[in-house]
Amino acid sequence: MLRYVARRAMAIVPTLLLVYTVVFFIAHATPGSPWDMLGERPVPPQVQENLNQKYNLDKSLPEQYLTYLGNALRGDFGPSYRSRSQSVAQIIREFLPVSLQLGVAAMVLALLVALPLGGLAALRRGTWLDWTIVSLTTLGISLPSYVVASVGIVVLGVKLGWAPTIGWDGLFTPSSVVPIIGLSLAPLAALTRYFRASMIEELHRDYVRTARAKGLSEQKVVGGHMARNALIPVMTVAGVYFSYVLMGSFFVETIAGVPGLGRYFVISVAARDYPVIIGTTLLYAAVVLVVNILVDLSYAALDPRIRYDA
Amino acid sequence: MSRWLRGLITACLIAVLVSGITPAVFAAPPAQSATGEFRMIVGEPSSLDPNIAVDYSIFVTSQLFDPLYRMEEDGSLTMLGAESYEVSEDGLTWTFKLNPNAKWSDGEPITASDWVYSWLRTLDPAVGSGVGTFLAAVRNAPEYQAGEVTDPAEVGLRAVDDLTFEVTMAQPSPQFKAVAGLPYLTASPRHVIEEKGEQWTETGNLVSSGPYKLEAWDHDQQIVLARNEHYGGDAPSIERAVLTIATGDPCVAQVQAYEANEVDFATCVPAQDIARMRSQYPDELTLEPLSATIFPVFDNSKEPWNDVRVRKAFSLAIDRDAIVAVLTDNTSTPAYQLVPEGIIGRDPGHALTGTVEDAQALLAEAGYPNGEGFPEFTITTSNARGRKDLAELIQQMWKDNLGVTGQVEVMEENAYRSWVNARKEEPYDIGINGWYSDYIDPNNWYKEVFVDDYRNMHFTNEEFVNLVGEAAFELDEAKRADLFTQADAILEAEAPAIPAYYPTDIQLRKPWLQGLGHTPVLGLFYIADATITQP
Repeated sequence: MLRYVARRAMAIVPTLLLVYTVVFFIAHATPGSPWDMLGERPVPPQVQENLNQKYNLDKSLPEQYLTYLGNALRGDFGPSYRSRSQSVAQIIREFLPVSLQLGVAAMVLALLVALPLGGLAALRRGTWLDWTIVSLTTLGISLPSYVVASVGIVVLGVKLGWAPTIGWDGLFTPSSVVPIIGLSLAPLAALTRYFRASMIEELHRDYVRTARAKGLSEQKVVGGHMARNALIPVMTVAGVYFSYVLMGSFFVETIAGVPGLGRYFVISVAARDYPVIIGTTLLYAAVVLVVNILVDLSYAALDPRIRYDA
Repeated sequence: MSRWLRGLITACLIAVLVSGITPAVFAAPPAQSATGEFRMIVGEPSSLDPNIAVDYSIFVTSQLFDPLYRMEEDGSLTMLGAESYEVSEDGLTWTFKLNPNAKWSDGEPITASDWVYSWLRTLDPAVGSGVGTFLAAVRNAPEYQAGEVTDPAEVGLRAVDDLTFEVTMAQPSPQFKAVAGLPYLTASPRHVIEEKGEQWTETGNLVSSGPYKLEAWDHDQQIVLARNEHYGGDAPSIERAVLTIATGDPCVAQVQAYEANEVDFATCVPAQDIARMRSQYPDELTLEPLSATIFPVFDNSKEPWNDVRVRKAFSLAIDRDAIVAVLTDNTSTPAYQLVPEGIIGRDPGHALTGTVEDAQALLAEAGYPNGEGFPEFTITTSNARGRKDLAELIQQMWKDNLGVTGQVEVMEENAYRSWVNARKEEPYDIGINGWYSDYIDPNNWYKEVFVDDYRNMHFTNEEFVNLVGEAAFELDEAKRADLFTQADAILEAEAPAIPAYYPTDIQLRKPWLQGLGHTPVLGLFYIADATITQP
């Protein structure tokens, strides 16, 4: 088990290096420079040169690539060009916790609603209840998060005045309602459908018949046996969605004014803020890789047949 | 079923509790802040360093830092950092007597050496500020900025004594009266900057000179301003201001928050909401004029645009009334001249007049009857602020009225800026551009935009350049105005760009908020001027 984890963890390094390489060159290949943002007047060449010098942009690309890599390995992801008094590390320290809270809350909400709903739909499949749940989840999957968040702000914020239209006062305040709903709807709907499909598959398995024949209570058959098996494919999807709600929430964060890391992707790309683009992308890649490992490990917990001892 | 339902309900309840969505937390929004604080939404400032920030950060820095004075709409001066000023007869030496009561928000006095220090910072190549170009007329300033002069003592900025700040020009510079009041040319606190470095603008470090001080800057969340008790001028009526930071479209966020009574003031309204907000808040919505013109520009150095008949034909063939109706719901004014109202030299009599038929005749005269044989061209634009719609509108108008075909190429805003900057050398056809006055003086338009060619339109006309060059150093106001008026006639007759419309700021103010103004230059407002009436 430990060896498996160690092996997987080691594979993270080359992946991150590859991500860094791709992002570095794409970011620098994008037309525009960070200093085009200095205002409407042309920036004197000397000022540009000095800024380039100050931020190492006067060096050749391969040289910049290696310098940044060396600094990053030492934990220095550089200063932000857009917000001159902040460094990338500060930005991550300050805004990652907000994204984490928001992502975990959205995922918990999604799972807590999706599993009972999906299970219910599977057990009552073909009835009006199943039909309603499936229709609603289709709607949930089709609605983009930014639409949900925008409508949420107009309804809950502007019309009802129950939640603020912008800002973040913490997880346990009305300000978190719109972003949590906006973020959790897509995973909620998708997980409901996956769990439903997965449960239906399990319904006809031999072990279910055996369990029933043995006289086990319905609760034990469904909760103890079927659900546990049906969870395995769902966990894979949940893992993907978890990385999505953790970091991919830039629309929701931007619209609802949540100071999370997700929206830094967008801001930094627009501002050609290379260090922030690279830093946040690397962080996102690392999150995805770690979540993937966790998902694989969860299989072992759910299914005794899966073991990672070589 | 019942067990499942029970489970479902329990799960939902837990979910609700976990997300903190308990109905008890909900409260109706207050119509107005109970504590009398001023609330609005701003974008995250790129910097709160007044000598560096040139984007919308100035909405915040202009509350925190005072320039020498403010030039009002009527050209009068409201003295702030300075008490009075004098210009030597040759127009070369400007002496500012500083306000003896002026203090930093930490109680330290503001001296002339602070002013010298901060203006030098804008020029210091190591600081990397875009503000320094405004001081181009100051003796040795461009040389210092370019690193050719390294001794700051050679630059024409001098502290004569603690309260006398002297600026020496390379040439007589009448425009300096307007430039010296720019919101970027404030003093900045040397004693703090030297100690804290780039961190000096953070919460707890920033020391200001204006009516407000910085209580907190929580990046990308909010900025809180509080009354500066050491302020040398009149204490503001509003004690505290909470500026919430939006990162998305600031106009959308502001309108939503305004409707929910979360803010007292909105600086803009998105195009799609103009009609609705106008009918919903007829007494609170105002159209605030800006000193600016939106104009598509030609590459005047390239065929067929180097033919004035072609340029005039293209200008006469667009329907400006339709443009302002479609783009701005008639909140802006159609523009028939490049230079906006309020700038000396502009004369409505110079406007290009004519009909679509005249345009067709001009194009035929240039060798393209009914657009035949006219090369295909590209209209390049950014996707921001309705510029793309403008490009598509005029593309269609030219096709319908002149029979010429243009392609629209849309770029993301920053890529477009970079594209414009690269047009210094690269050829192009037409780009959607514009200019917003930096300061109210003809120099900013005739010289900087059209002679120094800040928009890379490559317009060359010897007579125009000579007139503007002469006007730049002319100390006699009447003579100067006359020279610029002559230049204006040439500019409009040559049509190096197409005036499209004069943009307007559409703003909303709650009824309890009074006295919060709007400047046509840069669209600034001063919270210190405003009052909030308690219910």
